[in-house]
Amino acid sequence: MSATLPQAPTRDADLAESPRRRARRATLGGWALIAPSLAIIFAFTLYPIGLSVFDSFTGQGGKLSLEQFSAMADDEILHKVFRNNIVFALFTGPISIVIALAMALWVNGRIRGRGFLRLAFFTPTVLPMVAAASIWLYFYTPGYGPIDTLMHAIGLPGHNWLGDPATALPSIMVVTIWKEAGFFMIFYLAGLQNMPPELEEASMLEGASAWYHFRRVTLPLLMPTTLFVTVVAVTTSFKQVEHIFVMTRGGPDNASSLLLFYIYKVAFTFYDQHYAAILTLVLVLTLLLLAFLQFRFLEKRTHYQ
Amino acid sequence: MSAVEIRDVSKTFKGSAAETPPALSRVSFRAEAGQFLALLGPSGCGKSTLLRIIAGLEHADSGDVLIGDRRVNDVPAARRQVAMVFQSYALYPHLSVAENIVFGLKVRKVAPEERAKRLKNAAAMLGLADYLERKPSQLSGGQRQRVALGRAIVGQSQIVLMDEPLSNLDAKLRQQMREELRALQRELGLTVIYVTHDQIEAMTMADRVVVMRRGEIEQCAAPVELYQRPATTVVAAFIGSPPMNLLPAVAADGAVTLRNPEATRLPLELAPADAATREVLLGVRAEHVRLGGAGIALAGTARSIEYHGADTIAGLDLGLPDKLMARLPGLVEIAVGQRVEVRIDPADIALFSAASGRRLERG
Repeated sequence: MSATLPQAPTRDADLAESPRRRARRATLGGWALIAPSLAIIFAFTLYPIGLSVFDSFTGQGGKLSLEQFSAMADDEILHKVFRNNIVFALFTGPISIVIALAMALWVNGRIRGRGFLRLAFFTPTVLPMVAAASIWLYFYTPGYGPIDTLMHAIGLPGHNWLGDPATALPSIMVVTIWKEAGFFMIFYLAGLQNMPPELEEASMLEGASAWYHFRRVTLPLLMPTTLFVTVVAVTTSFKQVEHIFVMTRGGPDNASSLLLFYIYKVAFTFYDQHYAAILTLVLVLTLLLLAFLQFRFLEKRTHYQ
Repeated sequence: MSAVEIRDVSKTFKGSAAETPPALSRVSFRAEAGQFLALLGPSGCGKSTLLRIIAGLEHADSGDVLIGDRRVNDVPAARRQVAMVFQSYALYPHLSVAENIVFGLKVRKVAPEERAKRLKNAAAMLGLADYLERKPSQLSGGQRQRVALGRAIVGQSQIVLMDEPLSNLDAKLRQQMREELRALQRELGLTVIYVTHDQIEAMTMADRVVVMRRGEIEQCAAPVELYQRPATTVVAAFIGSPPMNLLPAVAADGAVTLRNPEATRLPLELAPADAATREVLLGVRAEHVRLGGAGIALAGTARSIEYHGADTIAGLDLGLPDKLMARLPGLVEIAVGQRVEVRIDPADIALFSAASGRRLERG
């Protein structure tokens, strides 16, 4: 071997760093870059969450205790509100999904005035909930609202829809369905438009009826959309609060009160922060559990393309 | 029983533009039972529309569709007893291969034992037996193609319509599937109407080829005739690789004079019926341009030389707008820029009207 190998040039200080030190500097740089975001997430998301959880386990005197849990067990109003919310979710979710699918199928076909119909179906979605609630408040007005006017016209007596404990919650549900169906329709419409038209033609040539094709092909292929929409529907039904403010304030006798509205009342009307905190915790855990169950149940029947 | 006939079919799509050209204008042809008929043409020529009209997925504005000599204009697609293979295969992505194949049998309430039997036969015939439980997304392109074929044959329709079924496959697989498709068609005695823009598919598989352009039929003939006696310049230029040479010339006084600088005179006479035509195109296949032998001599400068192994394709500049393409056997030692003399046997020459593109009969 030759003894005249070229001398390695003297490297400057920066390059002389050991690989480990360089890696550590890179790591530090990375942390520096995400530090501002982390600080904000910690201050406005993680810290409040921790505080609420801590509050949930704190009694009146500021000591750790489970007394909030026994309070929940004894709270008749909470039980009623929870039942209300389950009824609310069970009706508004499936009904708005079925209506959404029907509307999507309708406006996906080759029909006259398709653009106008799509717009009409989607309009409730772009309205703020408060505006929608105000419109419906007027519809429901006892005596001279459009619904009562219509009932008088066909010889039926009027009705105080929002004032009767038996009809207050259903009336609120109608508004929700009216508003949500158009939103869900968009997802179904997108799903339908993604479906190659040859599938329907192939079914047609095989002699399958439109209903058979819908049941055996369209519906299964829309399962990813249905899964998504169901999760959103259930979550929204536990988050509804604006139209209750505008229309009933939870009354009469909590007949139309839902969980989030009750939490608001506990926190800002009764000023019981600890109790509101644990109710919020229960709400979030309920939603997580429901989402998990839906994924478990529907995932198996879902075919992703 | 399973002949398909199209009579005077016209169709115009109502588009937003006021002057939408017709997709099909007065198209007629007949595919005999057990025949493999290809509809060949560039995209937008109306061949797919025609296929969809036969299937019953579109309706013609006028004209008749006959299946087994029965007029089926008003028969819904499901009852026309035709199967169709789509370009995209149109497999149901959420169903297994087996479910995809028997989908139609289930719809038609065929008994489960019969269903299983037919599925087994089709799977064996198409080599799908090991894949029956898979979903289409777990199959290769060629396998999906077979599933689509399986779905078409399991219903035992004698007529199968195919819309560019091989266009999504790679070249090697396409070659293999061409052979298999043709073998399958012969074995089952199917009447196949096959839409393609690939002249090789049409020429190699079909008994008859219908060449279409802009909604009209240019020629309907067997592949051999299509190649040897193209009816129009469109067919002449579409079929063959390289396509037929079409050289501008003038016909007068019992001879045709080429428009090259030398004004080469060819002793070609037109039949009395066509004798009035003056502006003509002289058509000659590249393999009929030879380096030696008898025939009319033409001189030109070599502009391109492509060695293809079995032959060499030379492009010669005769002083005409287009090069004269010559397919010369084997390896030919010609350099680009070299002056070359070639010979053409007058018997190999076809004449077309320059104005209409129609073939002119020689006297």
